[in-house]
Amino acid sequence: MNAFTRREALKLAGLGVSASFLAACGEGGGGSGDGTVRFEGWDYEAQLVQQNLDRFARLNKDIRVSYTPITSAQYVQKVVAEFTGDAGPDALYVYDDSLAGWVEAGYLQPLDGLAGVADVYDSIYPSNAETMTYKGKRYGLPYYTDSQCLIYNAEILGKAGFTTPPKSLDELTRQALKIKNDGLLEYPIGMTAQLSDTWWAWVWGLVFASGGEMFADDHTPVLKSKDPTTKNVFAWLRDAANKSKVLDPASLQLLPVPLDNAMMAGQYAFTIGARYALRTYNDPAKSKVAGRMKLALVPGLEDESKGTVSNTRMYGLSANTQVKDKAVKLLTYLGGYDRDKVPYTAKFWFMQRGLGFTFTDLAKDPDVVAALKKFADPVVYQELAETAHARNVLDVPWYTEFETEMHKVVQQVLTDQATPEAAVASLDKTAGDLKKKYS
Amino acid sequence: MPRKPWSDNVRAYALNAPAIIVISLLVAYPIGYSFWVSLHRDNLKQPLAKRFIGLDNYLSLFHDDAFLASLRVSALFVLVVLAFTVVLAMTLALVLNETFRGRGLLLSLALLPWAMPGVVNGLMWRTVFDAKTGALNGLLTQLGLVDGYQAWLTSGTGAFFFTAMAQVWNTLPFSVIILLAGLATIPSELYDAAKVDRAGVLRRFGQVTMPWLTHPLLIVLILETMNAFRAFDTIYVLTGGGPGSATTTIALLDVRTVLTYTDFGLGSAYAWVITLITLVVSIGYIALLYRRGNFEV
Amino acid sequence: MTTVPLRYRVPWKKIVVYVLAVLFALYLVLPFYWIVAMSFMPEADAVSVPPQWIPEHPTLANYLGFVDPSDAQALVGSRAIEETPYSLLNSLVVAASTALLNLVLATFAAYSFSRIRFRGSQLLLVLYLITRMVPGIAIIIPFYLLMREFHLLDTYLALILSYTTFALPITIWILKDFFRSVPRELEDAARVDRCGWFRTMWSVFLPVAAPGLVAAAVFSFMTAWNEFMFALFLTSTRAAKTIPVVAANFATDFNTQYTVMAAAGVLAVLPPLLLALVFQRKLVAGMAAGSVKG
Repeated sequence: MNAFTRREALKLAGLGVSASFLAACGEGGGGSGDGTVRFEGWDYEAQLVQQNLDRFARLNKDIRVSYTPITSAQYVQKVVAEFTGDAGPDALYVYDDSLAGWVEAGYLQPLDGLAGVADVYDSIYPSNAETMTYKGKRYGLPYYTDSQCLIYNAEILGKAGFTTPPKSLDELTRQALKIKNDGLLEYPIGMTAQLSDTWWAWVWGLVFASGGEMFADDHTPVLKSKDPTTKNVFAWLRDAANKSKVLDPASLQLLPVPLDNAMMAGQYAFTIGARYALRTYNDPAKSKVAGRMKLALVPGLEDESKGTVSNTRMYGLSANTQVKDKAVKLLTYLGGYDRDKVPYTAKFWFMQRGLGFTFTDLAKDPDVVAALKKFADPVVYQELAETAHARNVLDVPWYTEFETEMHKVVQQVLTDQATPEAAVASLDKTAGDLKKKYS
Repeated sequence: MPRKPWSDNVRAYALNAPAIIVISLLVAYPIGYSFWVSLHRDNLKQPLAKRFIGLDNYLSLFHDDAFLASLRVSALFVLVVLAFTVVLAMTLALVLNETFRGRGLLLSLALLPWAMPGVVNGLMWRTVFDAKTGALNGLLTQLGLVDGYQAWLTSGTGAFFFTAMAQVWNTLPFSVIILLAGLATIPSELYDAAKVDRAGVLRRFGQVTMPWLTHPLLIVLILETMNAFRAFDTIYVLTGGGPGSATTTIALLDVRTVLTYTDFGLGSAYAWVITLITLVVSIGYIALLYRRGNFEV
Repeated sequence: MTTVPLRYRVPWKKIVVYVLAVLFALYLVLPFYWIVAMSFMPEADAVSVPPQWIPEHPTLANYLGFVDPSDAQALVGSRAIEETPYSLLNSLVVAASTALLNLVLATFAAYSFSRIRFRGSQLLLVLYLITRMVPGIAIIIPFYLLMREFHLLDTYLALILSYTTFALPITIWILKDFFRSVPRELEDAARVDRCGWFRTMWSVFLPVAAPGLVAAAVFSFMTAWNEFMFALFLTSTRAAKTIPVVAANFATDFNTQYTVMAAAGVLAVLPPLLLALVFQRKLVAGMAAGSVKG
C-alpha cells in the first residue's frame, strides 16, 4: 500500500495543472453561492483528475465543478484548517484514517439513502465497505483501494537459484541470505522506515499476514498479552536488520519515492508495498528492471500467508454543503456507477495508473484483466484483494498518535535499541495512555 | 502664538503607533487567542469534549513523556547549535575583519546560507547526507575516510548531530554580520595602543576585542536561542523528528500535536512553554550583561 | 661585511587567516555548489555512485523545464514546475513589499527609541521582542481564521502583513541602535533652518542612516523570502504561493526528480543572494550600531 508522507509522498502526488479557480482567491466563503461544486483532493495526478472532471462536465452540463488539488503532504492539515474556518469544500477526498475524526468534528455527512449509494456498497469488497462506514452510517464512495503485497525482483531471485517467492518470513530470510552470500546484493530487503505522517502499511501487512492483530475489535490492545504475533514480527525485523543483516539499515532514511527509485534501479530484491507500485516498477520508460518485478502474498510467521492489510481512499460529502444534490451527482460519478452500470472512474484510474478498485465485478472486466497482465499476475492480485482486511482501530480518535508511536518503536527495534518485548509493552502502554487521554 | 509642542511621551507613542497597531491586530490577538485555547481541552477529534480546564494542560506537562523528551532534545539542540554558531561565527568574523585578498569574496560567501529558505536547506542537506547517493558519502569515500557509504541519519546521534550542523550552516550569516559589525566599530587606536604595549594576539583579543564584542554577542545569543528553540523547517525536512525521537524538538512536537493530532489545547500549551523558556533565557542573558554594564535599551 | 638582514618574522597571522578563509569558503560554498551542479545534470548522473563532482553531461533541461516543460518533464511534477516562475514572482513582490512596509513602520518607531526618552520605552521594546518568542505554530490557526475573516486568503496582503509583524521587532531594534549613532547635530542644524520634522527626516536624517536602513530592509526581505509555514497555510494557488512552498512541493511529487528539485532550490536562493551581495557593505555598516559611544 502506498504511503503518503509529508514530503516525497508516493502518496500519489500531483502533476497536472492546477487550473484552479479557488474561490478562496479573495473570498473564503463556504460555497461560492453560485452553484459551483467545490471539490478538493490531494494532488495526485491532478491533470488526470481534471480530465475526468471535464468528462463529467460534458455529461452534466448544468453542474460546474471547481477542483483544487492540495499538496498531499499537507492535505489533512489544510482541509482541517478550511473546515475550521467554515470554508470547507463541498466534496473532497477522504483518507480512511481521517474518517472517524472528520465525522466526529462534523465535517462530513452520511450518504445513506442517497441515490446510487446502496448499489455501490452491494458490489464492493466487504473490507472496503466496512472502512467507509462509521458508527453504522456510510460516509464515503470509494476512490481506490490497495493491499500490501510482497514485491520481488524475479531476476535476482533467479540468479540466486529461486524460482518461487518466499511464503513465510523464515523462507524470506533464507532467500535473502542466499542472495547476500552470493554477492548479488548486500542488503536484499528494503522498507520505508523513515518517520512520516502516514501509516506504515508494511508493518500492518506483516502482522496481518501472520494471522495476528494489534487490537481487538473493541479497540483494546492485544499486542502485548493476548496476541504474540506483533512481538514475533518485531523479533523477525530485529533479526533481519541486525543478525542476518539482510534488511538495509538505510531503510530508516527511506521514504516511498526513494524506495521506488531504489527498487527500479535493482538495488533491492524484496520490499513490501502496494500492488499498484508494480505498474511503475514494470514500466520500461521509468524502470531499469521492468518486466522482472512480480508480486506475491505477504509472507508471515506461519508457513502460508494469512492475509494482508488493505486501505481505502474515498470521496466524502461536506456536512454544510449548499449544493448537496449537485455534489452528490459528482460523488456518484466519481465513486459509483455511471449510466451504463460501469464504475467508470474506478476503471479509469485502474487503466491509467493501476490504482486498485473496490468493485468486485471489475476483476472480470476484460480490459482490466488485459491491462493487469502487463504488470502483475491477475490471480495473485485478486487473491490479495480477497484476503485483505482493514485495520480495525481506525475508529478511535487517537489512532494517528498510536501510529506515530508505532513508527518510533519499530525504528528502535530495527536499530536494536529496544527488544521486541519492550517494544510491544511500550505500545500497549501508549494505547492505554491515549485511551485515557481521550476519554 | 506658538503651538504647545507635544510632550515627549505623546510624541514617542505617536511614532510607535503604526507599529503597535499592526502588531496588536495581527499578532497580539492570535497570541492572546492561543493562550485562551491553551486553557481548554480542545481537540478537533472530539469536538464535543471541548471545555475550559484552566491550567490542566500545563500541569499535565510534568507527566508528559513525549514533552519532557522533546524538551531534552531541544535543550541539547540549542546548546549544540549555539556552541557551534558562536565559535564559527566569531572565527569567521575575526577573519573577515582582517584585510586580505579575497575578503570581499569571502564576505559574499558568508551571506550565501542566509539566502536559503529552511525547507530548501533541509532538502539540500538531505541529498548531501543521503545514505545511497549522497555527496558526503562520496566525498568521504573518495578521501578514504570511510569504507563504504554510511547511513548517517539513521542513528540517533548521527541524525541529531547532522541536523544541528545543517541548522548552523543555515543560520550562520546573521550572526557573522552582527559580530563583524561589532568588530568594525572597535577604534583602531586601541589595537595600536595594545601593540605598543607589546600585547600578544591573545592578549589583544581578550583585552581589546572581547569587551566591545559583548553587546553584539548578547544580541547573537538572544536571537540564536530564540531561533534554535523555534527551529522547524530544516529539522522537519531532514529527519522528520527521527529516528525514534532523536530529533523531535519541542517545536516539532508542537507542530505535530496541533496539525496532525489536531489537539489545539495541548499544542497551544506547548507553544507557550516554548515562549516562556525563550523569555527566561533571554532575560538571563540580558541580566548577565546588564550587570557588566553593557546593556542598554 | 655581510649585511644582517632584518629579522624575518613568519607572518603566522596571515597564514592562519588565509587557511581559515579557505576552509570557511569551502564550508560555505560546497553544499550549495553540489546543488548547483546537480541542477545541471540529468537525473541518472545526479544519483550516481561515486558522485560526479563536475557534471559529465551538463544540461539546461531542468531550468528550461520551468519555462517550457518538455513532455517528459510534464510527466514529472509538472504542477510544481509550472508554478515555479509564478512563485518566484510572488516571493519577490511579497518580500520587497514587506521590506518597504517594515522600513516605514520601523523607522518611526526606532526614531522614538533613539531620540526620545519616554516612559515605558524599555517595556515597549521588550514587548515587541516577546512577540517574536511565540512560535508560529501557536498563532497559525487564529491567524488563518483572521485572514479568512478579511477575505485575504491566497493574497499577497496576507503574507505581507504577517511577515511585517515577524520582522518588525528586529528591524526596530536594528534601526534604533543605528539611529542612535547618527549625530544629533545634524538634526539640530536642520531645525535651525526651520525644517519640519518630515523634511528633516527625509533630507537629513535618513540619508545618513542609509546603512542601517539597508540592513533593516535586507533583514526583512530575507525573513519574508524564507518563511514557509504561514505561506503554506495562507496560500493555495499560484496566485500567491511563494517559492519555499513550491520547493517543498517538489519533494512530495510522486515522480520527483532530484535534479529538478535542485534547480528549483537554486532559483529559490538566487534573488536574495543577489540582494545580499549588492548590499553587503552597507549591510555590515548598518549593523554596526550604537556601539559607537559618541
